Amino acid sequence: MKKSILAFVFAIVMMAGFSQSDKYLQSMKAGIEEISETETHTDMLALANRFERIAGAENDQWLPWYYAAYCNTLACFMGMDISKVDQQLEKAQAALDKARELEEENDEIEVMQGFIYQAGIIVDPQSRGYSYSTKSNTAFTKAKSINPDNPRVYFLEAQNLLNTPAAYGGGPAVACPKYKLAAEKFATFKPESKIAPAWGEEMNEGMMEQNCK
Amino acid sequence: MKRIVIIILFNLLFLHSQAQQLSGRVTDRKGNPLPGANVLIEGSYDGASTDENGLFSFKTKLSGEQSLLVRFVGFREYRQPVSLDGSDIKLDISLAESSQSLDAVVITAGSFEAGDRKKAVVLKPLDIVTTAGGLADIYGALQTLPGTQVVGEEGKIFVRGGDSYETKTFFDGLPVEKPYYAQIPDIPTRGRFSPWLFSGTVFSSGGYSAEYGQALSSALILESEGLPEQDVTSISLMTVGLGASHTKRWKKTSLSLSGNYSNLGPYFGLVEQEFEWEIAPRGFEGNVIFRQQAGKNGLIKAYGSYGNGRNKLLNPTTANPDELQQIDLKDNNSYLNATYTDILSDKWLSYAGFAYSNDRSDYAFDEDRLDEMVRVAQGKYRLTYLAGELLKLKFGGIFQHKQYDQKFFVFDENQNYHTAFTDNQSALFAESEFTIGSSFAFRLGGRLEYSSLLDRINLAPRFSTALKTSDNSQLSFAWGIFYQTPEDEFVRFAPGLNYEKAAHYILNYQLTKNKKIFRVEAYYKDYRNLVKFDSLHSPIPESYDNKGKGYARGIDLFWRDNSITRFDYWLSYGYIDTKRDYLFFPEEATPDFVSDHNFRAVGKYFVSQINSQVGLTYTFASGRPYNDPNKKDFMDERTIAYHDVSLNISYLTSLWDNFTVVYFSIGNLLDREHVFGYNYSPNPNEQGIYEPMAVKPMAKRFIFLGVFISLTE
Repeated sequence: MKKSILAFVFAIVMMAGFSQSDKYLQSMKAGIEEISETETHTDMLALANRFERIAGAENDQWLPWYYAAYCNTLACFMGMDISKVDQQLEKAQAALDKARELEEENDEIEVMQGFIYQAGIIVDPQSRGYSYSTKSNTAFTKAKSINPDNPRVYFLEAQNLLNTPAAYGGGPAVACPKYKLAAEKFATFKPESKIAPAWGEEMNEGMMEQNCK
Repeated sequence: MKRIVIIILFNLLFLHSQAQQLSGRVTDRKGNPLPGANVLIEGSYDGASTDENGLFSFKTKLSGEQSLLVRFVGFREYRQPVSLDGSDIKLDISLAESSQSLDAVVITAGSFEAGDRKKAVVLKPLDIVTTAGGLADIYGALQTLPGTQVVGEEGKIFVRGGDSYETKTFFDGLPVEKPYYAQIPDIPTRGRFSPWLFSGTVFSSGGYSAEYGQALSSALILESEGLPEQDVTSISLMTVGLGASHTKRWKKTSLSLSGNYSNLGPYFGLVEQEFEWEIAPRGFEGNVIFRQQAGKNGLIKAYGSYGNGRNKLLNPTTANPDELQQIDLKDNNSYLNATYTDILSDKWLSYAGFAYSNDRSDYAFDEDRLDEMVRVAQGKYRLTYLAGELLKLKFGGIFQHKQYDQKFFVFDENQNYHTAFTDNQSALFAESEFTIGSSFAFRLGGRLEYSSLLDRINLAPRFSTALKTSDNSQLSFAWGIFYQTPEDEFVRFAPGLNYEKAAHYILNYQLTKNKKIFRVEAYYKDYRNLVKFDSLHSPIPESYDNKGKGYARGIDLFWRDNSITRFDYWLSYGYIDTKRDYLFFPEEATPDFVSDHNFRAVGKYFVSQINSQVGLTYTFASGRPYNDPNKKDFMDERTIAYHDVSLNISYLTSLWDNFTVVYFSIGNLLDREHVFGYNYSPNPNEQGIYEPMAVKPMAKRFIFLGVFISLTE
C-alpha cells in the first residue's frame, strides 16, 4: 500500500513536471507562431514581453531570451519612432546577453547579435552604416565558423549587402547571389526542435522576388 | 493514507481551478500612461503588457505571497508584494524614469560630446574627419564649435579668451605634454594624433570634472578605440606623403602597425609659397597599437608612437625685414600610453594608466642653437563606485614626473646658457554624481594638487548641475576653480611662481527635438595670478611675478539640423568680451588671438549620383587686435576681418574591389588676403617709424588630394 501510494504521489509529481515542460513548449510554440502574424510594433513588443515572462519563469532555457531579443529587434523595423529604437535595441541586447549566459557558442545567438547591430543602422544610416555593418559582419563570421549551414546568416548578410551603396561593394548585384545561397541553405535546413529558430525563409524569398529579377 | 492522497489531489485540483484577476494602470510619475510595459508575477508565465492607455489585466491561478514586477524601457524596475487569496486585485502603478535612460538629463554646461547614442550629443565621431577646413585634424574640426578662436598662424586651439597652453589634451585619461608637432613661430602646426584613433571625444570649453586638472580654460578628452572588429590593411597616397597600416585581430587580442612618411617638398614645388623653404616640412612617424581583453570585462590598451620631423626656411628677421634668417627645426617625439580598465564587481570599476613622453626640439637660428628636451612620466589610478542609480562616486590620484632641459648657444657671445628643472606633481581627486530620476543631476568634486617645483598646494572645487525643463530641453550650470602651473619658459627661471588661476561660471540651455539641436551658453571667467614679466627670457627670478589678471565673458550659440536626408549642417556663433593684463602687457587689453565675433557654417551633402560627400565650411572672424608701436594706445589696432570658404569632396569608390576614398580639399575659395596680425621692427627707422610686417598664411590656399584604400581579403 505504502509503495503504491508513493508511486502514485511520484506519478503526480512527474505529471506536474511534465505538464510544466509541456506548458513551456506550448507557450513557446504559440508565441513563435504569433511572430509571423504580428503586424504592429506595439503587438510585437507585447510578444517580446511574453517571451520575457517565459524566460523569467524558465531559468535554464535560452530560447525565450533569444525570442525576446528577436521580437524587440523586429519591432524596430515596424514603424517604430526612430528616437526609441536605440533603447529598444538595448533591451534586445540585454535579452541576448542573458541567452548567451545560458548557451555559449551558438550560431543562432551570433546571428541575432548581427541582426541587432543591423537594426541599429536605421537610426542614422549615414554615420552608422559603416561601423555597424562591420560589427554585424563580424558576428556573422563568428556564426558561420560555428555552423556554416545556418541559412539566416546568409539571408542577413544579403540584407547588409543590399543596403550598402554599390561604391562600398554592395547593391543588388552582389546581394542576390547571397539570397540565392541563403535559399539553398533554407531548403536543406532542419531545425533542432519545434521551437528552435527557423525563421527567415519567407522573408528571404520576398527579398529575392523584389530585388533579384 | 488514502486521505492524504486525496488531499494532495484535491489541493492540486484546487490550485488549478482558482483563478483571479489582476488589473490596473501603469503611468509615469506625471500620470501619463505607459503603453507596452510588461506586468507579471515574478517567476511565472502570468502577466500582460499594458495597452495604449497604460491598462493591463490578466488572470492567474497562483496563490499566496507573490511579487508583482513591472518592467518598461527607460524606467526603473518596479516590484510590489501581492497576496493572492482568490479575490481580484486592482493596482495603480507609477514608474520612475531611469537615470540610465538615453533620454536622461546630461550635464552639458561647457562640454561638447561626440558620440552617436545619447540625446545630448552634438557631434558624431565622423564629423572630425569629414569637416571641410578641418583637414582631418582634431583641433581643426573643433574650431568649428562656438567658443573657439580662429588663430591661423598657430593651428592650435584657443578657447574663450584663453591662450593655447590653457587647453590640455587627455589621451585615455592622461594629460599629453606635447599634443602638437613642434612649431616654427607664425607657421601653423597640427595635432599629433590621428582622429581615427578615437571613438569618443569630449571637448569641454569650461567647467569640467575634478578628474582633470592643470588646464585653465579647456579640456579635450579623447578615448581611444577598443578591440577592432576585423583585420584591415590600408594604404594612403597623398600629395603630402604616403602611409600604410595593418591591423590584425585575434580572438582576444589585436595589434596594429602603421607608418607614415610626409614631405611637403613636391607640393611646394607646384604651388607657390609665401616662405622661402630650404627644406620643406618632412617627417616619419610609426605607431603600434595593442589591445588585449583581460578576463571577462578587462581591457588593456597600449599605444606607442615615434616620430621625427625636419624643416628649414629663410624668414625675414623682426629686426630688419630685408634681412633673412635661417631657421632649422628638428623634432623628435616618442609617446607611450597604456591603460588597464576592469570591472571589479557590479559596483566597482577600476582604471590604471601609465604614460611616458620624450620630446626633443632642436632649433638653429642662423648660428644660434636652441635645444629643448622635455620628458614626462605619469601614472594614474581611479576607482569608480556605482551605488545604485542614484549615486556615482569616482576618486583617484595622478603622479607626474617631469624633466625639462634647455640649452641655448649664442654664437656672437660664444656662450652656452643652460636651464633645467624637475617637477614632481601629485594630485588627488574625488567627485560624486547624483542623479535623481531622469530629470535632475548634479556633480560635486574637488582636486588637490602639489607641485614640488612650485612647492605649493592648491585645492580646486568643482560643481555642475543639470535640470530637465521638458521632454526635449534642459538647463545646465557649472562652476569651478582651475589651476595651472605657469609655462616652462617662465618656471625654468622662476620656480617660486604661483599657480595661475581661473574661475568659470557657465549657464547652458539645450533643446533637442526631431534631430535638431539648439544650444546657447553664457559664461564668465575670472583670471588671477597670471604670469607677468618686465622682459622675456630674463634669467632673474624677480623679473617674473603672478600679478597678472583678466576676465572673459561671452555667449556661444550652436544650431544643428540632422533632419534632412543626406544633408547635414550646423551653425555656430560666439561673441566674446575679454581683457587681460599679463606677460609684457603695460595695461589690461584684449590679447592678439581674440576676435570678438566668430561665426562658422558647416554643411555636408551626400550626392548619391556621384557617390560623394561634398562639404563646405564658411568661417568668419572679426578683426584681431595688434599693437602698433607708432600709435599711443596699446593694442588698439584691429586687423581686417577673416572670411574663409573651404570645400572638401570625398568620393567613395572601389579600386580592384577594395574600398577606396578619394579625398580632395581646398581652402580660401573666396581668394582673400588673410592677415593674422603684424610684427613691428624693434627699432624705428630713419623717419622714426617702426616698420610693420604682416603675419600671413604659408600660401594663399592649401590644396590637398589623397587616395585612401582599405584592402580586404
